[in-house]
Order: sequence, then structure tokens, then C-alpha cells
Amino acid sequence: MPCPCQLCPAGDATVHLTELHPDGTKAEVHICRACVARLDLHLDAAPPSVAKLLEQRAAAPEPAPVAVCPACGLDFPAYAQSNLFGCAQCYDAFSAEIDGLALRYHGTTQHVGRSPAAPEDPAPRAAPKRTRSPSRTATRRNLQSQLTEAVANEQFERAAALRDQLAALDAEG
Amino acid sequence: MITVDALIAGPCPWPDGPGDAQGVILSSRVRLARSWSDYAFHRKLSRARQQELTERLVDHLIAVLPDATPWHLARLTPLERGALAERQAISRELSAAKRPGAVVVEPGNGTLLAAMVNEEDHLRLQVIGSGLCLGHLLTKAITVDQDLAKRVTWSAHPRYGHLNACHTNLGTGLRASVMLHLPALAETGELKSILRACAKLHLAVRGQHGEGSEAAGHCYQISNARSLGHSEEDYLAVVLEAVQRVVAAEHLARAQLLTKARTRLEDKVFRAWGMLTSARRLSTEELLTETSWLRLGVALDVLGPHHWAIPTGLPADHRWRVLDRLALEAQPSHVQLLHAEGADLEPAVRDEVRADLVRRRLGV
Repeated sequence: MPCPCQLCPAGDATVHLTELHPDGTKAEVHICRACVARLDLHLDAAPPSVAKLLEQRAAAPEPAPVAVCPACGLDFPAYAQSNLFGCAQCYDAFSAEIDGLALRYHGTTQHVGRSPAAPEDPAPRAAPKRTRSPSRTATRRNLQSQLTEAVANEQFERAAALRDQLAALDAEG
Repeated sequence: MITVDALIAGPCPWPDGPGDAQGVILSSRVRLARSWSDYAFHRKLSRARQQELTERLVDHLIAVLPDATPWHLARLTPLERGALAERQAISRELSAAKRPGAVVVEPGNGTLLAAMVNEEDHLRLQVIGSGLCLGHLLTKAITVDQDLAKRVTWSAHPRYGHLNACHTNLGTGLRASVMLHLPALAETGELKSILRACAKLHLAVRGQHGEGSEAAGHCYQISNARSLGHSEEDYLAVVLEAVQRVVAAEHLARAQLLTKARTRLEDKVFRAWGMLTSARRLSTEELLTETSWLRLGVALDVLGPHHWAIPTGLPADHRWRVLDRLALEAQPSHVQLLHAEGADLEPAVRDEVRADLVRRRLGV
């Protein structure tokens, strides 16, 4: 079972140095071939001291920063556990990841359908616009078709109410 | 205004609407997912803010739907919530949720509008109708959505369109689905290849009650899986095209069963008839499976009027309506609310009540 290199996080140690001190104590260091080359060590000619070698420890790479939504505090790993975002601002905070998600799931990152904003009202006209109400004939036809369906569906109470509405419409002349 | 009792006892677009002539297409549904820019999504929203969101959004819904009725879920009994889920007015998830939430319902002419508040998204606006009517339902949903957008600013992004809690509901936030009865494709084993073809077209195929549920009673819901990148009408067109192909395949499979495996078909249908007319205990699953075979038997005239007579004066499709109504009314919450006066029954007792109801409805 290889042991990890003590000078870098990546390699398996294949070089093992043991240093015996005059007071009877000993110091050990285990390093990988890559660190031997990186530090240009000549192990046969002039073995370095263990203490000096340990000072050459390669700085471990900084872990990639975890993206956090500034508005709700959700981080991306927490999203990935449930597939639920915390707020609308998450979509800006995680935009790099979301583009990938959208491409994989929807095949695109661009919305095409209706605008999410409210539809604009038509520009006001100089003359007041007459509101259209359905004609008596249209209303009658609509009520009649609803009555036919109500009877077909055995909704007799509804059918009776529709029949009364039709009668009232006819009585208005 | 309508009470929960009246809604549950009353007609439902699926079994009580006109449906399609061949009985393959049961119902259509259009749902829009929307989130309000004033609030975080529910996982980062405090209970008090969820309550506030629910009350404010219900007020806005009532303002644009003056004939609709709001129900706060906390004020409903578990059975009432269960029954609303069984008739798809609310999701199973919202029915079981402990957080604040509401549903605003407006029964229409062959349709049911049900707006779920504080589900996975702040608003899940859905309209359900009988048969194939996606275009009509989309028009209704868009009208309500646009009226709401004059009062509420939806969370949106210049590129992603509507923003919702899950990235699968970006863009249009639209899910257009059609529920189909596909017993012949299931029996001939062709359903698996159909499902694979649907997946390639980015369509989702699920059991009757949405995500995670089995296809009880051979009822499958086909819907668009994607919601970003195409217009609402384009998504509808893709679903419609697929539905028409699947319906044609179901008719072909039915014809094959009739010509090549008639005895096997008759055996299934008459075993179902025997079980439903004789059993003293029936589970929900048994009922859904066996009424599915009867439904096919009626559609193919294998179970003719001489086996199961239509009482005089009732319409020709009366038997389908009886079966579809049973498939709804015999589900656990409906059984207890409609046929046991709301009592919380043990499953075995429920199965007895269900079997009794079935024998009465089948006229034996």
C-alpha cells in the first residue's frame, strides 16, 4: 500500500529518507518521484536534511471557491442535493452551472415563448373606445350549447338554471 | 363559491366530460409554473412569509377569477386534501405538505381550473379538461396568467424566461399533458417501445397521478419534459403529434387483440367482470386494473349490452361513465368521504365498502 507524498498532495511516495541524529532520535520523510525531480534532489551524492525538505512542501492548491447566492445564502452543492433553488437571484449567482444544466436538460439557454412581463395595454385613443359586449344571438347560442352539454352530462340542476337564463334572455325581447 | 363536499360529489372533467369517441383520450391538462419576485422560493422562505405569500396570492387570484373559490389547505381535513389530489385538483406533494398553502378552484364547462399556491413554486396554475383540448386549456391558462401579471411581477430572467425553483421549469414554465387509456399496448407489450420513442422526443410518460406513480389502470400521461427554448404553442404541437401517434398505435393494438387474441382478450374482460361483480373486498389497485379491462371490453363491444345492460333512457356511453366514475370514486379518500360519511376506515373495511359500491354501480 503506497503512502502519500509528504511534499505534495498528488503523488504516492516511492522515496523514503531516514535521518539518524546524534541524540539517538530519527526523522523520516516520504516523497514521490515528481518532487524529487521538482526539487532537483541528488539523493546519492548529497542527501538533503529532512527538516529542509519538509520546508519545500508544495503549497496545496486552493480549493475552488463554492458559489454562494448572496441573496439567500444557498450554495451550489446544497442545490444539487434537492434540485431546488433558494430564490430567483440564485440564477445569477450560479449562472455558469445553470447554463450547463439548461443545455443538458432543455438543449438551449434561450427562452423563446411569451414574455413573463404583463402584456402592455393598447395605446389610449383620442376617442373613447366602445367596449364590445357579446351580441344577444352569441349569448343565446353559448347558453344553448351549455344546456345541451349539461343534459348530455346529466347535470340536471345546471340544465334547469341554464334553461331559466335562456327564458330570461328571450323575455327581454 | 363551491364547498369541498360539493366539488368532490360533483362532476369531474375526466369521467363526466364528453371525452373522445373511442375512449382512448381521457383528459388534457395545461399547467404553468410561476414564482413571485417579492419572495424567495419556499425552501428559503420562512413559515410566516409563506403564509403571507399564500394569502396575498390567493387575494390576487380571486381578483382575476371572481367566481373561483379559495381553500387554505390547513383548514381541510386529510381526507378532503386526499380527495382533491385524487381528482388532480392538487398534487400529492401539496396534499401531504405541512407548510402553508392553498388551492383556488373554478369549475367550468367541462373544465376545472385549479391554482395551487405555495407548491414547489409559488403558483402552479393548472386547467384540466375532458378529451383532447390542450389549445382551449392553454388559452384559459394564459389569460389568467396575463391578468395576474398586471398585479404580480413574476420572477424572470432575460435569457431563461420564467424562473422557478427547479431548472426543469425554466422558460415557459409550461407542462401540457394528455391522459390516455392504453390497455391494448400494455397487453401486447408494445408500450415499452412507445415509451422509448417518447423519451427521444423529450416527452415524459408517467402514471395517472404524475411523478413517481405507477400506471394504475393502464392510464398514462404524456407531457412535454422541456419547457425552455420553444414557444408554448410549439410544445403543445409536439405533445399533440405524439398523442395522435400513440392513439393510432393503441387502436392498431386493439384491432390485433380482436383478430389474433380474441380469447385472451375475452378472458381478461370476463374475469374482470366476474371479479368486480362478485368480490366482497376490492383494493384500489384491483379496482383500477379490472375496470380498465371492462373499459376495453365496452370499447370493443366484447362486453356487449346483453352482458351489461344500459337502463332505458340513459345515453349510449353510460357504461364508460360508470366505469370512469368508479375509478375516481373508489379511490381511498373518495370512498371514505362519499360512501362512509367521512369515517377514517381501516383498509380492509375500505375494501369492503369499495366492493359494495362497485356491485351497486354495475347493477348486480
